[in-house]
Amino acid sequence: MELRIEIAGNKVTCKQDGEKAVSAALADFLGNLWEASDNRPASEPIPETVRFAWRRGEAAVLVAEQKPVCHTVRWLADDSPVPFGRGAKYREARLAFPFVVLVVAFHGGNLTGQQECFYRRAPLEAIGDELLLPNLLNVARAYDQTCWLCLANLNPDMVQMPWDARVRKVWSHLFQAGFNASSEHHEGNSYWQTMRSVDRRVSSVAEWERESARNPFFPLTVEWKPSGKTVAAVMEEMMGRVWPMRAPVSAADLLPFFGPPAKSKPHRGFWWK
Amino acid sequence: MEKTKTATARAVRDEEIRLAPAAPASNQAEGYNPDVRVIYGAGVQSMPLVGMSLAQARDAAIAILGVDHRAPALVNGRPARLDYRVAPGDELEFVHHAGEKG
Repeated sequence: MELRIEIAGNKVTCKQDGEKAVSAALADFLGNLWEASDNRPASEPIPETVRFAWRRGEAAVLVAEQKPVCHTVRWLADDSPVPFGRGAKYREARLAFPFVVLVVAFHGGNLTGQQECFYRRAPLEAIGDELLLPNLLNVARAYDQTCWLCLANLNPDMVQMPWDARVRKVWSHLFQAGFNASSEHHEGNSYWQTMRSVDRRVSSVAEWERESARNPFFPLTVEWKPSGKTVAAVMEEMMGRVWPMRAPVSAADLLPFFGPPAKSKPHRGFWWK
Repeated sequence: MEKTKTATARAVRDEEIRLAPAAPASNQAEGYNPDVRVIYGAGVQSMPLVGMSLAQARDAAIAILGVDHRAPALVNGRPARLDYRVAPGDELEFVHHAGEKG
């Protein structure tokens, strides 16, 4: 299929395989091009904790970061009769965390199954910063993701929520939904199992809890293993899966540029609403 | 027109009164009130809550951090009574445990 755009006088014409497909006034066409490249302010505030955001089409990839803090979590008890699900037994544990970084891809505002959880020992400063492997149950190498975070029990339909609520939901599920061994069962691994040998202080939940009480910032001194991924690389991977870059191949793909003048259409901010 | 404006203004003031945290009850309010750390979900904030009852601190956290009103309050990781007075160095955490992963 051959696409041509011809400009003659005050008119722009798009031809597909030699046939005129669509045309517009040059000023309207240029206005639409300009509008498409303009980054307007968001109509909703940027959600708390979000450090990087990338929107393409109906997809958005967000990177959120939490500062080092202690969380009281529910962790699978050693004597739980089952590894997860009905009948699983939990114990409360107050655990110190380093910087925690979530990278989550949305499509049309809904979860996509693309969500990863990493650690860091320092705050994010650049998109090229490296990410470290966490030591958490329910975070696994799975589905072509290095640190896939299990959100299976979180309703992916978030279309009615404001963005701040979406981000809060994901954080809440991470820290406030019980940690269990479902990933060992479904994905065949979790980083809790593989990272226990990283440091004596996180070799068991009891040790982790003890050390957290002694020094809540000790996770910043643990030699967490590198993931081999940067923030940019993870965002790129996710965006590539959720909304791959595709050059226009037909006149239909170019229709938005031949539509009415941009100023007559409602503007869309980063967060859509 | 005038009546409409008055009604709107009053509604806003009522809402603010309902949400506004009460002042600390201790005499520390007279001078410097050191911050305590408040944790809710991924929200972490230092707030001058020393001397407040836990109930007052909780109202402040609901108004400022958007804490779920159902979330029980923990002080330094332990449950505490709502009349507990927040002390310097305390860490308040509002945990609304919700289901499990999997």
